[in-house]
Amino acid sequence: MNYLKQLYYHSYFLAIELCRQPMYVVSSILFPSMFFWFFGIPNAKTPDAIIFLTYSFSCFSVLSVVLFQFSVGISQEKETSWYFYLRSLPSYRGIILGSRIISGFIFSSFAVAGVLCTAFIFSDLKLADIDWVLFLIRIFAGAIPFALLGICLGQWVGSKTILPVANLVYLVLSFAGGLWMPPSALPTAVQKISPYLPTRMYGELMWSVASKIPTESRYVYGLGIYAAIFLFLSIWLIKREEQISFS
Amino acid sequence: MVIEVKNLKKNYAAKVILNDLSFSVAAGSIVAFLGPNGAGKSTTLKILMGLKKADQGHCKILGELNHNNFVKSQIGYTSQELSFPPHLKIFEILNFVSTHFLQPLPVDQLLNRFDLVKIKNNKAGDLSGGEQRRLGLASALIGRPKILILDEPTTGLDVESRQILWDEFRSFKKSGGSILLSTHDLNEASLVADQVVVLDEGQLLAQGSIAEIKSCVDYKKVCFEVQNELKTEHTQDADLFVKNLVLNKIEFKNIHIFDSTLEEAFLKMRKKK
Repeated sequence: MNYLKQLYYHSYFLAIELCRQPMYVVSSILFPSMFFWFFGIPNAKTPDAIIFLTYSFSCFSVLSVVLFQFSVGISQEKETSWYFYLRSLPSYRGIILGSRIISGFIFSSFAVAGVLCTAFIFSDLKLADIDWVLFLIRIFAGAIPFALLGICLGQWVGSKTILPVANLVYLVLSFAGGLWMPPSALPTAVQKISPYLPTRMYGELMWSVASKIPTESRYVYGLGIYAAIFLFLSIWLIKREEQISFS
Repeated sequence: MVIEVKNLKKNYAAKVILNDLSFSVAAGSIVAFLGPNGAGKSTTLKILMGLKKADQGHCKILGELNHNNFVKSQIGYTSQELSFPPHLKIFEILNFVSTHFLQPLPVDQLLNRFDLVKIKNNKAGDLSGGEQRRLGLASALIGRPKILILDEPTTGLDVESRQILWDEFRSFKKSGGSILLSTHDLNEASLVADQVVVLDEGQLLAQGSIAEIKSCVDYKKVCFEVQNELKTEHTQDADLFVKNLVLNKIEFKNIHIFDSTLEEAFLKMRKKK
């Protein structure tokens, strides 16, 4: 069995497992679209505002999938005997994490599609209003630091406390990063820290596509630095976890 | 030997889990790994599966020291605490496990063999303990392994489910496979195993055939009724004991002579230690 085939099967069965959990589907995929429908669309009075909010809530939807799928998924998985059983099977290193990345990508796509469909149905947004190539590249590339943050949380926090911790990180980062409302509408104190948060940088990456202006390099570098920090931390935490669980 | 364990040592913090443990499993045999809770059985099996590292010593499986994919493909394993993804169906779990092997057994065949056909569409989260154990063993067998390493595979099962698993162990052995199964059920060990490895507090107490282990108890149990009262005596020479009853004109009835049991041997070994 080659690596790609095994990766495909692991991803396929993980996706089936997740699809059959209504709470997961509702909270990760439907919740951002509903939130957008209830709170985003009524505030979008101009064509620019609807594009801006659609991009913001697309970021919010991807954040919801990657953060929860990696943090909660990894934290709960590593404490099950099924995980140890998988490790006893003839397989390749990294295949379990690899399948999580693929299913994260698939579910993120559904979540973004939900936000876009909501925008197309309930506002005047047209397909042609979106720069699809840049939108798709940036929405997924910009999510990498959050996937890595999810891995860090999943490796670090135990299964009993991961849900409140992940929720706290998710809600605070989404709000303070300006994904629910324009950064200029945030409270003054939050406005001061907002530019340093990865969610704000992610939002800026997308809003510059919406406004058709170049992205300020500090946001691109900022996201890169966050990605590097979370990558370093996740490698360290994975090794630490391996040391604890398998020694 | 298909499994060779040599001078295995393992500590958790200051607690000694395994202390210089050595034993082996011959090809085509069933070896019961016996010991009370906390004896170090599960830790040993996890080390054999590459899920834990030994502090000292080594174990060879099919002559290999490393847990590479070839070795893993030759072993079927079930852990003590079985948990399958609760939302996957039985046939999906078997299909998934089968994708790890080059020539897996057909899933339908395993569903039939383990009486899982009727519930193949049930989700793993809805299975009873017995069904989970049967699914566990079916998963362990799907890759056509040469060795089965089973951690308390029949714990908590009803008699019928146990019988199904015991029959499977015997037929696996008949087909040339070897089994190392941990248990603290002495009856199970004496019913299915050819060899017994007795472990206590991480130390090997004995390894040998059931008869060899039992032979460390050098008495027999004689049960009989005298004046409607049930009596039990332990004696090294049962024939002489009965002869004396007759010579002394003691009126007895319903006399039964029992060989020593594995349980008695086990308890004696622990006392000696």
